[in-house]
Amino acid sequence: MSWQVALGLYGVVLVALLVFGVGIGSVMGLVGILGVTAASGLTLWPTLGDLVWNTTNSFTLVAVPLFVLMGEIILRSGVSKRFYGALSTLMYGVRGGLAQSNVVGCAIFAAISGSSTATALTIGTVALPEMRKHGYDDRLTLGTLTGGGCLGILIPPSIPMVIYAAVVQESVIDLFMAGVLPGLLLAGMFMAWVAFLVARHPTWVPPKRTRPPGALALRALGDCLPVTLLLLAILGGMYFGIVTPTEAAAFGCAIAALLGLVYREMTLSSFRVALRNSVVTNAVIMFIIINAQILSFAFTTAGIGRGVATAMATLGVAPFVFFCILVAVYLVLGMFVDGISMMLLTVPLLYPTIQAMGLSGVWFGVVLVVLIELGQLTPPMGLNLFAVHSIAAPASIGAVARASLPYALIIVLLCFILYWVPGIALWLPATLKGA
Amino acid sequence: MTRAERAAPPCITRLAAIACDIAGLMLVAIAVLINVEIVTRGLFGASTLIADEYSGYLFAWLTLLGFGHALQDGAFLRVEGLIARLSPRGRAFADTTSALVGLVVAAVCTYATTLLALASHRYDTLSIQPSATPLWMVQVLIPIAFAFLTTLYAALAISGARRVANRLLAA
Repeated sequence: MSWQVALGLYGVVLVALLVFGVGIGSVMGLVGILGVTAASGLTLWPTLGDLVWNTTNSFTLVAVPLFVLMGEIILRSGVSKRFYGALSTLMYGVRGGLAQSNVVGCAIFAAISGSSTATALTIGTVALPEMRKHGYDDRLTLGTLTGGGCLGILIPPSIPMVIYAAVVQESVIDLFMAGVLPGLLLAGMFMAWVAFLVARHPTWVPPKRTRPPGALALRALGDCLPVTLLLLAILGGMYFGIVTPTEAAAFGCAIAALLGLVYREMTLSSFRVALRNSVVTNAVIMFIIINAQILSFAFTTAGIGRGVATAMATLGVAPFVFFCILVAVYLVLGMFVDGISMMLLTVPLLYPTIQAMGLSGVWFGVVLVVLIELGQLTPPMGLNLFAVHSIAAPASIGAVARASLPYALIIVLLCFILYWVPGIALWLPATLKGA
Repeated sequence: MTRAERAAPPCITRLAAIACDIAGLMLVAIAVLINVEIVTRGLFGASTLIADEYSGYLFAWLTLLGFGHALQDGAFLRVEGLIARLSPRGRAFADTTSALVGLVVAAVCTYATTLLALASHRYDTLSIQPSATPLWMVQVLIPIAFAFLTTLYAALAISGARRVANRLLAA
């Protein structure tokens, strides 16, 4: 069977079963098993056992449940409410300060918690009533929550980056560092958009607040400190080579648990829930990863990855055209499939082509994560839209989607900026190697 | 109560919950082990020599132990766009198909990982790390966990098939 026929058959079965609501991991596994069996009979089945073992026994992937646990502890320790409250106090001098606090708060918090949806919910639960009370217009507020939540998976630590690194054997630290500047740039672009909206629609926000008393400002600074230190400890530890990403995740768990104890909001039962949620989230991700490895093995045995790369080279597709096709494909996929599944479905197919075109795997990882963020905002399956809608009654899902649209467009713009100026992503990892 | 919980006998549901709690403890053990390694290395310039290796094993176990509870929670991801629009009968049919596909994949993984553990036992394969741990001892849990997942998928498929049959009879 030629690789073209194999690709066609695998594609048809994959899409048909996915559309019919079969579990994403199961579909990947089934197509992978059928593909391997079609190529070599039952001869290669024992290899599937090695694939499962090597995937589940990966020290790199140990970071996944640890980062999830860190986020779960942080979300339950009361740090989020204090942090958001502190940010809004410190932003007193900025017109539309609470909206800007949403972007900054969501970005930093989503980075630590690892879940953009949970962040949008946590910050949104605190921010929405507060902003409505102060007279902020929902057209401004809703977008800052959905858009802000997306920033987290780009700013390290990022679970999709750990998974991408494990799958394509890139360095997790390089990917984390590569995500820092694009993440900050995107946060800056979101804040600029908020400032533009505030300038254009002054009635959407209340007048500037008065300067808070010194003691309050000092307390706000104190409330910002734990989150900032946690982020700095994780990033600094990795950047200076003190800890590996997995060790940074474990260290982050220890600090988060300590914060939970200090704030006295973490009970034994909420810790148990945090553990259970971490185990389930890890199981969901790992089930997809294991099956994606089986599918990837089927792609390799059928020569699909190499075939696509050779075909692209033979056709002479310009890198920019290829990039535009990529953006379009991920835009559509992101409307229906969650980010990690989307990544694991496509990377085995595309990564050889990316390499053949001379594009950096680290750069591609960052672009991929940006495109995953886009998927969080695009209907009909944009998770952040649903998360914010669930706490934003009486706002309709349409209103949430309309408020989020500019942020989705800004994300697309960032993709193209990253294409034209790849150094935004690659400069920091390069300095790491230089150091 | 989730659909999967209704489908599986209570003892299996309880077993999945216990497995999930044990997996949670393993996660704590990983965090402790790695932090001990960081402290030992930072303060004394020494290594436990087992942190990477054993956290890998614990990770494999906690992942596999979590599958059952994740399935029962309905946490495994699927594309919901079409099935949300299906009739109850169509939805039951889709659920059954999904369970059957999961059943096949879990069964093949059970078979493949059993072969792996048996091969490690037969050839007395040891880990390449300083601990030289016999690998079959850490691999043996994997086919057991996949067999448990296969059982859960089978219960789900049977329940789905019953729902389809009931809808057909009612029509």
